[in-house]
Formats: sequence, C-alpha cells, structure tokens
Amino acid sequence: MADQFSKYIEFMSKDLGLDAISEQERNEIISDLGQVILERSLVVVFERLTNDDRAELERLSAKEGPELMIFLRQRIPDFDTIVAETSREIIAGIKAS
Amino acid sequence: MAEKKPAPKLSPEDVLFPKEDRDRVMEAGRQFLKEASGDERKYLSTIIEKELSARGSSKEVLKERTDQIVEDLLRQNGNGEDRKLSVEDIIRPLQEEKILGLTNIVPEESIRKPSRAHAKKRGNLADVAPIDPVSEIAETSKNAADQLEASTAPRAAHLEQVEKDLYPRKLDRAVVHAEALLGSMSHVGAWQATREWLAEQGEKDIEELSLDLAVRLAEKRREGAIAAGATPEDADRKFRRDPLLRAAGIKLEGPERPERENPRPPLAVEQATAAKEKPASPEGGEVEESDRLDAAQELLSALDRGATWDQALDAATEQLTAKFPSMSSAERARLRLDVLGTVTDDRRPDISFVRKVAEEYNQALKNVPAAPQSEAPVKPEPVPSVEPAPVRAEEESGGVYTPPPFVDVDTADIRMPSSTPEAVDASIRSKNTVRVKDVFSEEVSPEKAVPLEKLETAEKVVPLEDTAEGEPDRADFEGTEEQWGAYLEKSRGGNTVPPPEKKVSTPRAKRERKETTTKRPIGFNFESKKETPPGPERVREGIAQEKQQNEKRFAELGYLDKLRKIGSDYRKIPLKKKLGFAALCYAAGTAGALVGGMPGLALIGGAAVGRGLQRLGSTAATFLAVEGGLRSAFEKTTGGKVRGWRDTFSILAGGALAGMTAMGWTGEAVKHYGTPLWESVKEYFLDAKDLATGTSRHVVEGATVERYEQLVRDLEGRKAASEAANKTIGELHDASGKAARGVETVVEDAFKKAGVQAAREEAAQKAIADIKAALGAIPGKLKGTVGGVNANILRVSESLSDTSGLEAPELEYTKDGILVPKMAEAVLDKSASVASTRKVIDALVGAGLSGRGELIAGIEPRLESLARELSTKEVQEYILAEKARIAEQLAGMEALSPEGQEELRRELKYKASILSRLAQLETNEGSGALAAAKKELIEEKVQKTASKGVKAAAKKAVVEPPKEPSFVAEPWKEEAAPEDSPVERPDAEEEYEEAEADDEPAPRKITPGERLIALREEAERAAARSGGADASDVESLKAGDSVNIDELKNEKIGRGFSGYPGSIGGAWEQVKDLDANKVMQEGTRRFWSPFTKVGKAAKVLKDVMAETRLRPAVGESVDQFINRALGNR
Repeated sequence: MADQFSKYIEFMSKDLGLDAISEQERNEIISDLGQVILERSLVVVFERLTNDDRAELERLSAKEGPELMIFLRQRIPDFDTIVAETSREIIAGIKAS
Repeated sequence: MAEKKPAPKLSPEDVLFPKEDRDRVMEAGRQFLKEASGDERKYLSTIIEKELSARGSSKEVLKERTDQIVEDLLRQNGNGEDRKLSVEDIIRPLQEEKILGLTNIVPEESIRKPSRAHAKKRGNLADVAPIDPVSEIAETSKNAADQLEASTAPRAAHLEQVEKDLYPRKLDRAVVHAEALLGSMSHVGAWQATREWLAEQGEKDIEELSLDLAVRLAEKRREGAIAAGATPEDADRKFRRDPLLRAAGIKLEGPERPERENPRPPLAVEQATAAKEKPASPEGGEVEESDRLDAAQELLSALDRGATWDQALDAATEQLTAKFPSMSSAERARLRLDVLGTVTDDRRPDISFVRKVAEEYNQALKNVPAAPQSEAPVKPEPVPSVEPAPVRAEEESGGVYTPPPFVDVDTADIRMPSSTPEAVDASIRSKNTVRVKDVFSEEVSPEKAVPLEKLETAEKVVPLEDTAEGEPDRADFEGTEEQWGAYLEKSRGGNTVPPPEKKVSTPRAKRERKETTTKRPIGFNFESKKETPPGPERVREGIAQEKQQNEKRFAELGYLDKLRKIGSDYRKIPLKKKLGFAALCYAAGTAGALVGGMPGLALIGGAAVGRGLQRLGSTAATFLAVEGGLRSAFEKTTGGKVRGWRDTFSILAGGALAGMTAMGWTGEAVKHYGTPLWESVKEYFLDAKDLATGTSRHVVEGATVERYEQLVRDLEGRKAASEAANKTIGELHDASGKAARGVETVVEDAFKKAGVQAAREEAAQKAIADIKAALGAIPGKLKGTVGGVNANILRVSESLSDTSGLEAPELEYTKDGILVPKMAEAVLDKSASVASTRKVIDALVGAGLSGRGELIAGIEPRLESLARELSTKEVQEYILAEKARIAEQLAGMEALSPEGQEELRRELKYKASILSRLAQLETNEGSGALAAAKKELIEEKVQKTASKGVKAAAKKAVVEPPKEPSFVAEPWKEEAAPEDSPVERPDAEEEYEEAEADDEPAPRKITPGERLIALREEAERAAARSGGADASDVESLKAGDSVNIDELKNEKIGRGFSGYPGSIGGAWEQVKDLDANKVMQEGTRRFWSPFTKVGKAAKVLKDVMAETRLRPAVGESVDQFINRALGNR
C-alpha cells in the first residue's frame, strides 16, 4: 500500500512539476491543494444551503460518523459531481496559471 | 452464479396505450406521411427546415415532438384509422409550444384538392369528384400545369414571404456567429468562416447574406472606431477601405485617404513590378476576391465530378479567362496559384502539382517583358505572401487586389490570395493554413504549423537561387525516403526546388524536430499545446489564488469564520490523510477522461469528500478509492499497462465502492449510480472470487486486493470463502432479482387484467412481500457488504414507482447496511386506512430503531400528512388500537429476556412519541372531534379502572393532567439501561418531549410521585371540605404510603437510564453540585440545550419547580434544591 501510495504521490508530483523540490515542500503543497479543493467545494455547497441547513452542516461537521455525508447528499443531490468538478477546475486553473 | 437480466420496465403509458396499438398507430402515421402529396410534404419540410435554420432549434426535438403530435392526433381519432392529417394539424401544436414560430400557415382549405390519381393512391376518393375514366387522362394532361400552379401557388407565395421574414433573423445569426469568432480571428477571417458555416448549414442565400454580413461587420468596426475617438471622416474613409468590404467584393464610392504630402518614392523593385504587372487589371474589370472564390468553387465542383486537379484547375482558370479575356499569362498563372490556395476544402493537391503551378507562374513572370519606362532590368525578388507588400499594393491601388510579383513556392501561403494581414492572420488562426513546405511532408509536426510569430520571426526566406548552393542535407528533410529522392533529383537537376526544411533549420527548430515524435496528418493546424508541468511556484500561486477566492466567497456569504475553522481543522489532520485526500481529489480532477466521464468522477468525488468532511476518518477507504483513480491515471500517463475501459472502471468503482462500504455508503452509492455500478460491483466480486480460487482474470493489485482479502478473512478460509460467497451471492441475487421480476410481472399482468388502481395496489403488496422475502434471504454474514442486493431492491423500488406512477419510495438502510423501502406502504397507499396507518407507524418505528438519527427528520411532515389525510375517526381508532397493543406488549414484557425488554422499551417509547404527535396534529388540524372522542375514552377507561381513594386520585391525575403528563407508561424509567443504548436523536427527543407535554390519555401506571401528589391534593381537598387542613391527616398519608424521597428523586432524574430522552442518567454526578439557578439559565438558552447534561438537569429542575412551586435559592445546588423541594412536599 505504501509503495502504491508513493507512486500516486509521485505521479501527482510529476504532473504538477513538483519533483525537484524537497519532500516536505511537496507535501505542504499537496496538502494545501487538498484544502483549497475542500474549501471550494464547501463554498458551492454553502451557497446552495439554507441558513438552517448551514447551521446543521456546522453541527454535523463536528461528528465523525456518516451523518454529514448523508446530510449533504440529501440536500445537494449532485454533491459528488461538485467535488469532482471543483477538483477539475482547480487543477486546470493551476495548470493554466 | 446466474446472471439475471432485468425485465423491461412498463410505464403507465404502456398500459394505457399498449405498444402493439402504438405501433399500429405509428405505422398509420408513417403511412399517412408516406402517402401525403408531394407538395404537402415539401411544404411542411421546407417550413420546418427554414424555421430550424433561422432559430437554431434542435431537429431532434422537433422530430420527436412531431412524432408525438402525429401519434396523438391519430390516437384521438380511432387509433389512426380513417384519420386524415393536415399540415396545420401538425404545425399548430408546434407553434403553440414555441418549437416553431411561424404564425401564418396557408390553410389546407385554400389548397386545391389532390389529384384523383393521388387520392386513389391514398384510398380516399370521396374528396375527388368522379371523373370519367376516359377523360381522366385527357383532363390530367391538359390541366396538369394549371393544377400544379393552383395547388402550389399559395404556398409558394407564402414560402417566399417566409423567406423574407426570416432573412433578418438569419443575418442576425450570421452576425452573432461572426462576432463570436472575432476574439480569435480577424474580421475577414470571421467573415469567411461564417460564410463557410452558412454553407454548412445549407443556407441558400449565402451570397446575399455574405454581403450584408460584411457590411454589418464593417459598420460595427466603423462605429467602434468612432467610439474609440476617431473622427467620422476618418472612420468613413476606413470604412470604405475596409478589407472586409473588399473581401466581399464591395466597392464604395468616395474619397480615399488623402494624398501624402511627400509620397515615398517607389522602390526599384516596385517600379519593375509595376511595369510587369501593368496588365493586372484585365479587360472586363479587376479580378476580385469573389472571382477567385467562384473559381475555387468551380475547381471543387470539377473535382467532385471526378476531374483531376490539373483538369479542375484548368476549368477554374477557364472560368476566369472567360470573365477576363485580356488577362496576361503571368496574371493567369498567378490566379491559378491563388485559386489553388483558395480551396477551403479538406482536399489537398499533390505537392508536385502545386510546385508545377507555382513554377508556371514564376516562369510566366520571367517572360513578361520589362516596361519601356524601366531604367534597368531589375531582378525580381521573391515576396513571401505573409509580407505586407501585397497589402501596400492594395492600399496604393485604391483597395484593388494586386497580386505579388513573385512567389516562393516553399513559403508561399497558397491559401491566402488576398494576402491582407487580416486574411493571413485569419487563415493561420483558423488552422486551415497549409504551406507548401507542409504539404511537401506527408506528416507535419504540430509546432511548425501553429504560431504566426514563428512564421514571422523564425523563418527566413531563402531566395530560389540560393538553393543552388551545396547539397541538401537529409537531416533537414522530413519527408519520406521516396520524397527525399524526388527532391534530391530535382534539386540536382536545376535546383529549382529548395529543401523545405532548410529555411527553418535554426538550432531550436532542429532540436524541436528531433524531440517531436507526434506525427499528424496534413490538412490541419493542430493545437499542439504540449502541457508542461506548472512547477512548484505556479502551483503555490494557483493555490494562493484559490484560497483568496475562497475567502472572498465565504466572506460574501458571511461565513469567513467558518471557512477559517474548516481550514484550521484541516490543518490538524495527519499529513498522511491530507495527502490521501488531495490525491483522491486530484484523481477526480484528472482521471475523468480515463474512466469514461462523470460516473468515475462522481464515485471518486463522493468518497473523497466523504473522507475529507469526515476529517478523513480511516485511511483505508480513501486509499482504496485512490487506488482506482490514480492507478488508472498513473498507468495511462506513465506508459504502463493500460487497462481496458471496463476493467479500469471496474477497479475504480470497486475501490470507491469498497471505500463507501467501509463507511456504510454502499447502498447510497448503488442508489446514486444504479445499474452501471451494479455491473461494476458484480465484476468486483467476480474478481474477488476468482482471486480467491486462483483464477483471477484481472490483476488486481494494491488496495483492491487488500480490500478483497479483508472480505475473505471475514469468512473461513479463502477457498471456503469463495464457495460461500458464490453460493450466497447467487442466492441473494436470485432472491432480489426474483423480487424485481416479480413486481414487474405482477404489475404487467395486473394492469392488463384490472384497472390501474387495483393493479397498483396489487403491485404494491407484491412488491412489499417480495422485498421482505428478499431481505429475509440475506444471510447475516454478508449483510452490509453486498451491493447487489441493494441494487435489486432499488430496482424494485424504482419499478414500483414507475408502474404505480407514485412517488418513488425513499430507501433507507438498516443497521446492517441493507436498503429497505422507507415508508413504502405510505407511499403506496396515500388514502391510508387504519391498517395502513399502522404500517406507517411501524415503518417509522423501524426507522427509528435502526439507530440512524437522520432518518427521523422526515417523520414530522409524514405525520402531518397522515393527520390531514386520515379522518379523525381513523386516527382515533388507530391510536386506541395501538394503545391496546402497547398495553398487551407491556403485560407480556416480563416474559422477555433483559435484552428483549430493553428493545421493547425503546420501541414502545418511540412509538408512544409518534402516536402522541399524531394525536396532537390531528387535534390541531381536525375539527376537535378527536379531542371529544379522547375525553370519552378517558372517562370510559377511568370508570372501568378507577376505584375509591387512591384510584380516584389516579383518575384525577389522568383527567386533569399533571404537570408532566405521560402518554403512556414509561417502564423503561424503572430499570437501568446501557449508557450507550440509543443514538442521540434530537428530532426523536423533541418529539418525545412534545409527547410528554401532550395531554394524551392512556392506560398507565401511576408513578410514586403522582401517587403522592394525588394523595396530597385529595387530603387537602378533604381538609378543605371539612373546614380546614388537618396536618395530621397529611402526615399520616405520607407515612402510610411510605414515599421515599430518593425514589422520587431517582424518578425525576432518570438515574441509570441515559437513553431516555431528557433523563440525566449517569451524568447526574456531574451536574448535581452545579448552581441550580445557573443551570436553569444555561440549560434553556439554546435550542439544543435539552440534549446537554446541563439542559437535562434544567429540565429536571423545571419539573420539580412546577410540581412543588418552589424555586432554587441563591447558591443552592441542583441536588440541594431537589432534596429540599421534594422533602417539603
């Protein structure tokens, strides 16, 4: 698993041109990338939720169980697509910058 | 394992209008259209085509709707038999639905009836006057022309009008199209591209539209110039000289630009050229762009007719010669070359032919005698077409095209006869440019065809004569060996052909050529953006920008603080998990093309965000999904083994599914992605099985294998696991598949035999039974891991919805992860009877007992719906019946095991809250009859059970509800329960609290506290009746009943049973010493307070205060106050 995982990170590094930097820097960048994807997805989600739903989202986000996921999927039917699209847009944006 | 093929679904339409009937009707419709008169069909299709052309509507939409209309019309009238349709019948609905916009349709009545022959063909002679058979032929032949004219004239006139009406719209569309292109090409290029687009659209008014389009675009440019500050005079002058107008063949009268004060003296070469090109304006006018385009069209037509390029070009030249008989040979040669370059088709002439034509021109140019005024013969210099010289020539000559004097056969842009900068630009940008040197090589590297800058900067034109020096270098030549040989031979035999690549043999070009491995066919200019990795700096910048944007958007929403909190939480996640999440998202963002689109993305995305938002929980599931997505991308990108689409998707879906399964989302995934995923799941399990038996068809590595092994370890040994899984999965599939098929079969049969309603009910019952049977067949071991069962249940559910026409039953998961129809009965039968109401409540209770808090959210509206839909009597009956059931169950509870008792308590508690809420809703919404009925019931119950003394007090406790009325006995309060028993469910608790506050009668046990209160009140009333309170009586009552304060307190705080909503349970020790007043203050502040320890303590305090009418003293603890209050009662 670890080997496979390293390969994937390696692939991502290569695709983004992060091979030449140190592992620590690379991990930092990849981690930040995940964060912006997560945040952007939530921006889209927040825009589509009512105030009550936002409060509920906040409440559920503290939980570890699947409630939040179920909640989001109930409220945002195309939630999965949003994440995938968001990832695609951000990656494309970075590559095009 | 038997693979079950799902039976086709039937829609209500299938039943109401069976397929065989529909086919028959459609056949009748087709027959009608087939037999319709030619002019009717033509008229209809012409109008529709024009409308579509003008509106850009979808032909598919129109076709589909037209079919439906025909079908409907035919069906309305005896299934199409004896039905005559007219054009108006079809057009009008289309107009009403705005699919077509025409308002005037020539009515059928105004058209002369079809000929007898035609009517006979249609089998409808009633419309045609009988004609003598002998005279029929004579009449037909005699009046054929008149008939044709009479029948088509009104429509022809109408069509003409339609044409006129549509023309502005067509022009508008053309302008919009051209303007959309202006961002990427010049005006001339956009105009030309729009012409081509119009031609592709089949537009017949292309010439007229082209002219108007050119004028429109030029006018817009003029207006733009004025808006930018140009004087109207300058703008007008530029307008008249606009290359666009010239390209369109429009010459405007008026002054050109003012004469220069000090005109530049002509260059020697210009003088020579001018002398040679004197006859460039042949008799018959000046050769213009449109002439060349016409000639090019002729060339293409000739090619279409089967002519060779040589013959086709001759035909085109002939056309030009006919128009310009005095054209010189040089000009004709040049025009031939230009015409060749004007061809916009994909067809390309052979390079040798292009060279031949180019050399003809060069030769003709050499043969042109020098003009007498020329002082000395000047050797003409080749002028590449991309040089601005031709433009200068045009401008100097007042906008008339003047061909350049010499053409370099290798660098000339043979596609650009006008050679204006705009045209050159447009040609290059429109990716249609083919230069001679490109044509020469069968394959061309993309770099060479792309940028204008490269053409202008990197290429240095070598004059023809220069190529005589030295032997060409094979390394500079990119053609095939055969071409190289031909080239070398020509080159040695006179050096007339320069090596094409020598001109671009800069070191960089050489390097690029060596690096380039991509070969593409000629004829296109390729977007060859070789993606270079952005690098860390750009990635950092991009991320920073994204962060800023995110912050901005969250700030706009007023949720910036939440965003920061999310960011903060994210940063706390272990690095490994963050990397996993990012990798997963990266896969979602990059692997889409590899896995075939959104399903893969959605799958990955779902798992990704699930993990992300759940703080990335366990890494295993994430990695599993990463495995699928990144693996595909990795292999594809790194040149590793590339899987087939199906395999890739299978692995991807399997990985994502495994992740979802681990998180309890299997059914959710199946619900979302349906059959395709089901297929993948099946594949996944097949992989698993094969792997177990050592016959793996796919090399499944890494996490997927691990996941499989994990599954296998759950059973006993690989081999046994394989067999067991095979058998069990087969059974599951059979059972659930049978359920699905059963529903479909039943529905189909029932619809045929009975009415829709009956069939619906039957189908519903059958579906429920089958689903339950399927569920019953699921062995416990595999529950929660078999997506196939869920998929089939989902299919049953959808089928049920489709066939019944009702809302699809919501699905929910049991605690084992199996999908079950949520509220299935309620959905199936909205006119619920008492029996079905019971089922609804059962379903709700079942949902509540499944331990998933989120399922409770939907109960309230359903209860409201029931309360509205059911009569008061029904609700009343139901409630009474349920109460009786509850009483029975309570009576038999002692016989159960402790676990059984606990489960029953939970069930009854939850059911009680639902019943209470239902009764409350009914009372609120209904006419009050329920309240009256309830009162009667209470009286009846009380009369039956009440007795004197304590029983009378109990009656009062019921009839006059205590402060904390309880709908039903609460035996669960009396026993300890596990601390973690029910999952905390806010909604359930709220409902339960409402139930507690409800004034609902029921057979009940009297709690010690109530008994005490009743006794006290009775004693007080007795004392009052007897003229004053007798303390001794009260004390004796107290002592006689031996009421224990600790018992009362425990009852209030619900010690030992934390699962009871509102009770404190084990948290009592933590709250008992808190300040009672502060607890009251804090415990009621927020809406979620009732679910906190402090809130629960506040509730206990509140209850005690209400009972005892006492309040906590300042600084008094919770425990102290309760002891004091209860002790003082």
